[in-house]
Amino acid sequence: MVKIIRSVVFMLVLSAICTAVPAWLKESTEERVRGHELLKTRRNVLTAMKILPDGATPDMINDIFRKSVIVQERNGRTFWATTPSANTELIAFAIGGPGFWGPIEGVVAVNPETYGIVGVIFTKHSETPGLGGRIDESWFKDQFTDLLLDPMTEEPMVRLMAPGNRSRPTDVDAITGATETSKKIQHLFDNDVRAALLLLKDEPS
Amino acid sequence: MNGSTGSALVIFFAAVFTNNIVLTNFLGMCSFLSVSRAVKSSIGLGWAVVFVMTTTSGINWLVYHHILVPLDLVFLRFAVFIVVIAGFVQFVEIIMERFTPALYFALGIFLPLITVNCAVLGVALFMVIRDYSFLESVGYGLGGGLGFLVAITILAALRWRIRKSKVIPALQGAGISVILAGIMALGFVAFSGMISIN
Amino acid sequence: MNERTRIFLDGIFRQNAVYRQILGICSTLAVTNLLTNTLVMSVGLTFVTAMSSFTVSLLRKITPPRIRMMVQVMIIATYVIVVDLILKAYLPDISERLGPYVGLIITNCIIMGRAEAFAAKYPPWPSFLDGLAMGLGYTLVLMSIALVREILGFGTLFGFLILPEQWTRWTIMAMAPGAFFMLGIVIWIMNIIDPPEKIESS
Repeated sequence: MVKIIRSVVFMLVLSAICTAVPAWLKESTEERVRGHELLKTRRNVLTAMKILPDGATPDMINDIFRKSVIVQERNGRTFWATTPSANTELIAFAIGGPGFWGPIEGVVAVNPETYGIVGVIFTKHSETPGLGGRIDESWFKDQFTDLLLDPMTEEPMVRLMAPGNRSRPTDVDAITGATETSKKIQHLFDNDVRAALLLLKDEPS
Repeated sequence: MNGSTGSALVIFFAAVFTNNIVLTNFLGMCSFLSVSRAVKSSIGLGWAVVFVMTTTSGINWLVYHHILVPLDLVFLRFAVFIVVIAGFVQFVEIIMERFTPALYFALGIFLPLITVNCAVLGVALFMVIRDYSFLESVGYGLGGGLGFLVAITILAALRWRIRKSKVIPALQGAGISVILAGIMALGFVAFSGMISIN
Repeated sequence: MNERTRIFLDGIFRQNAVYRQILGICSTLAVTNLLTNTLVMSVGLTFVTAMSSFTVSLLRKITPPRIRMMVQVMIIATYVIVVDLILKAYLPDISERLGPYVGLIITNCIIMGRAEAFAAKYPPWPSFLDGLAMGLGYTLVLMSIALVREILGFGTLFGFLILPEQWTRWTIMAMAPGAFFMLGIVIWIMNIIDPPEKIESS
């Protein structure tokens, strides 16, 4: 009996310490972590907008963001619009949807007049490296630049086709060997990106 | 994330073939390499892993979404998950020893081995990262376990087949097993284009 | 001190955790496609192994025997959480890239193995050194594998482009099979350079 009580007490004391130490550490790093998150979002937005110079330091990122971007909300969805001092008129928004292996998240920047894509980046995904993971590669993302999106069309806004099969201006090459991921990207544009553009249409500024 | 049965099935098949947890995600390697010495033990361990992995995936999902998240204790997930797994395995051991002693002796030593099998913990961590629904998590656990079973059985069979072959001394044992696993991994990469849903 | 040094060096080479004891393979294969991730993982693991062994050893006389394993697991898990929190705060990009593999340090057989085989029986300072030696041996092996895999698979070294763009990347090195083959080669080479006492048949 005593042995069992001893074991239980030991475990309880140990658990208390093993919870307290990480909890304290978490508290003390909380602000730092939040700073990182914010910096990450800002960097992603600026990258999608293509107004981020190479090798930008965190200070530069925060600086450029503060000068060039304002945050807007439409129907609960966050949009980032460029200020007049940015010299280009762009609107960016976060996108997200199911991928094959996990959620895919990213940022898309468009011209608010034409809905032409300025930049696309994928910030988070769990796709297979070398296959679906290739959505991160420049050649893939660059394909989307200058595509004109039409949120009112009945057809898919963007189609991912097997290389060599492109016919429409809004067709891009899918990734060979990653049919599922490619499909998910197409759905992502058709659902989430379309929804964002429709919100833009309703409330242009 | 869509939580339909359809996606749970896809995740299930993917975990067995295209993203086999052992051959693609490198989980469960230690027991994979040591137990594959004998085909019988491999099958035994494999099934034990299937059982533990499927159940603990479900339990850990519940614990994560209904206890850790609401109480803002997500940072403790590593400790909590492993305790759940260790606790579950201990619990199963006690039950088996009491009610199915024959099965207990057959599987006996494998159960504690599973607690530290990184595959079981790994599956729980991946399911959190990928934001799976309950059904998808259980599907992933089941698929992961079966994937492990398939991989370890094949490796055991291969090692049995080459037992009479002249493997150079420097590669005997672990060396050749690892290379065999590499060839298996190559083969499984070929499954990549297989899964497709409409 | 000579005996101590010998045991320490043994832990790094003769008794190397990866190519001799065949432990810690999961992470060896998973993170070695990039040198930066490998370095962080190695430091993390060395830290956890050394500290866990130290702590387990400190508590070894008062730990109730029945719950010994649970206690070890808990201590290891806590140190890993600490590593995870530190990474998130100071190296967020790497933390994201390592993903779940940081958590998997817990089930790294090296740590559990040493805690049980060494730290549970020996005093704290030798346990710490033993954990440190295991970690260093692990680091050496993983960095070597990562060196080859990153150069051949991505053409980079710590993220810096070394090989020209035109050179075809051996993507196989960035994926699973490459990892297995590299590990096999390391085991092979080390078994030739420093043969173990007895060789078991497969």
